Amino acid sequence: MFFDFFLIACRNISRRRLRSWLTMVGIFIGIAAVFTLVSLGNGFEKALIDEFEKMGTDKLFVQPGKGFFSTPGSLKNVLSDYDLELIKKVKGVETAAGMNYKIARIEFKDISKYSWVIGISTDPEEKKLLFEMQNFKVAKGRELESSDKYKILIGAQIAKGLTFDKEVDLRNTIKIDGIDFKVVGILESMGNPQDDQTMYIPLETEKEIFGEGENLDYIMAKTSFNADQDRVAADIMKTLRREKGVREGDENFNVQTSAQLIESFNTVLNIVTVALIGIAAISIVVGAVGITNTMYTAVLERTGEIGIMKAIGAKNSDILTIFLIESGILGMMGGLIGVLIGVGIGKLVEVIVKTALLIDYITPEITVGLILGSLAFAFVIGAVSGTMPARQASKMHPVNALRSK
Amino acid sequence: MIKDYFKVAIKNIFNRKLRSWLTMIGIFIGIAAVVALISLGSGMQKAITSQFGKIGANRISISPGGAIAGPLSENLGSGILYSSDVEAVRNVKGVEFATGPIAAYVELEFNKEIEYVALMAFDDDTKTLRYMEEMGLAEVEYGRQIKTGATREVILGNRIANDLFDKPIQVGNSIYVDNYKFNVVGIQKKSDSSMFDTVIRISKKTAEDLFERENPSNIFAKVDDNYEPTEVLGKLEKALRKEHNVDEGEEDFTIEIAADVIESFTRILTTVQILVISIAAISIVVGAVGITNTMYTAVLERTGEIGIMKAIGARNSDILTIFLIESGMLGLVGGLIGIFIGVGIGKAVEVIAKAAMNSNILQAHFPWYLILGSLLFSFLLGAIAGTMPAKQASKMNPIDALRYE
Repeated sequence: MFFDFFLIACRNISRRRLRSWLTMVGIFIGIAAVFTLVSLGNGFEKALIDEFEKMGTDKLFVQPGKGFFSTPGSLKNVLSDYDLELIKKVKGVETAAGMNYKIARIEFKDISKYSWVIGISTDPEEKKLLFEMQNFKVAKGRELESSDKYKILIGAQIAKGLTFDKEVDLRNTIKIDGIDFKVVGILESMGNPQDDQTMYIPLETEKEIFGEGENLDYIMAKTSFNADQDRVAADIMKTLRREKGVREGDENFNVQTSAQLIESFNTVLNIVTVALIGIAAISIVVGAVGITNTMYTAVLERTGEIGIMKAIGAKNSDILTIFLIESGILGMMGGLIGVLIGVGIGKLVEVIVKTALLIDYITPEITVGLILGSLAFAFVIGAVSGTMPARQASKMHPVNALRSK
Repeated sequence: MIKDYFKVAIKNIFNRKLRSWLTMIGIFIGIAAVVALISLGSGMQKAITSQFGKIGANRISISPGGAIAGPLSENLGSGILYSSDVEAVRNVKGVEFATGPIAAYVELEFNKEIEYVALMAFDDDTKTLRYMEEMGLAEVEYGRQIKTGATREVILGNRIANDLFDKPIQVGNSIYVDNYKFNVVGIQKKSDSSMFDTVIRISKKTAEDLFERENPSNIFAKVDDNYEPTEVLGKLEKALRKEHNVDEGEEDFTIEIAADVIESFTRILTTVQILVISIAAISIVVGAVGITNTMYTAVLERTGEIGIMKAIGARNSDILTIFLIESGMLGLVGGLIGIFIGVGIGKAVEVIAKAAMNSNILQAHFPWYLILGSLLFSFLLGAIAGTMPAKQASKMNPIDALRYE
């Protein structure tokens, strides 16, 4: 019985082929747009979480300022070497390390520009923590050692020649604010131009050439196994408050756990994705109105047919089901094509972003759940937008229906 | 003649009222979304240009090298501007005026509460004040400006006075800036962009004396009307190179015509806007497909009618025109309703944003060309969407058409 309904619906759709196509075009454009945005948004979120997981969830971040996203390095002289030592002594902290940020004039073979220069600790234990957290891996050469002074570690894209238009290799000399630094190591690519075009020098040298004194811009800590993240974070805050003599609520620094960082990133990301998807979803609404329109026309055209079906014993619910299946199929077919196009666009965006912007993070996350969900959604959209016309059809008086033309 | 065509078209639209409405809904949803987004985007650009609009092409901004993240990130860059640079700039021929404010993050204490804010310290002479007023940076709503020579006077940005602390700060209150007591003499008027609402102002002399800071974070210069700004810019570069003792290409400072900075900022804004609007425009495409669909149905239904018209002498072009006008009208009316709704949404967002964010940055702006352009666009869209069906109708063989059912 149900199978017959299906056959009738399919036959009717293919009978008015052009109109069915146009109706489905309306749906698939919208589904494709939303599908693309959702898959890219999810992919980006997954990449972010992966990044944090590589870093480990046992990490804490201490930085100047009250808010979450202040540019690192813009608030100096809030945290110091002394604070780092205090943090290391807090119960539950296994180890901690500091980093400094500066934008300095760099020069290689007569080409000069401004770029991030980051000072990283060369103390073996601190260095290990930084490499773990920043996901640094040396591709060529070696790491910075504690005896190094004017030595430099460069990002993958600097080596490839993207910063200076010329390739940079081991033992080359790069000038930072006019001082010669020798390249001792090249890092593996981290997948984004910001990190891959950064230079890393020993922290002590950074402080010396930029006159930073005891200042630290950023302190990262690793908590010991099984320690309560939130409690350790609170203890660090307490320790720093006591040292600086400020009351709770008046701090000019903050401690965040990995979980908090992920959450704050996610919140921002979700707002952007939801806004974009909401705008794209408008086109699905328009497509749904198109289905309603097509179905009203179909009901009108097939009034006589409905009359005959009712005359030979079709119940109201039968007529309703036939028309609902028909509009549902229109929605689902549209959804199917939309998903295919969406997958294509997502992949295309990935390739374009990777080659043009050198960012690896934008990968569409296409899951079975997303595909099935989109199809089900499209079917429901079709059925819902066909409800009003289908009810009109089912409630027709058979005599009037037969009489019409 | 053309009037008759319109009558025929309108009559036909009315004949199938429900279907025409559904078709127009498709168009007006899309147009409403696009109109609302464009109006908000151009309103935002207008707010920004009116904030900086007074700056004009004869303003030059000099920043230390590496301060690529704005004036308050001067700690980040490795370059330094010196007070002597301000003198050097003033001595360049063609420079009418120059000033070098000091910017810093400071601790602000009021009523035993501590917050951290940005401080700007300008010279307190009348010439500098006039310059700032010209740029719209110094309008005081309550109280007065800092008196020349006064040491412990401070002016607060609007949001600092009203929102930052539990209790609003009023003119006459005392506050502590980095533990020095200051007297609040003025509160600034709310600015269109919130940028200057979160800044406090003291005199440069006071900043130098109390905070032992003397290096300006930026230098702002105004070019004499009789000189060409780009020419003066060249001379300034030369003078500062000499002052800093560096060769060409190795400058540790950046000189820009202020208008260019604003332009690069609005360019980013435009890119974002284009992305969002094109996503919204997808729904217009879907709506247009809906028109095509409705028109094909109309042609099919009226095949007999077309046959009769042709039989009594209608030319192909007459039939074409009638159907094009019909689809164009669908687009135009849809567009008209869409504009009304779009204006409503734009205004609603403006009111909500004002209430929620306490900022004037999101203002819906409806220039006449947006309204007129949208109307024209929706008419053309309708006509284009109807082209294929109209052509099909015009090319029908009258005999076949008459024979049809």
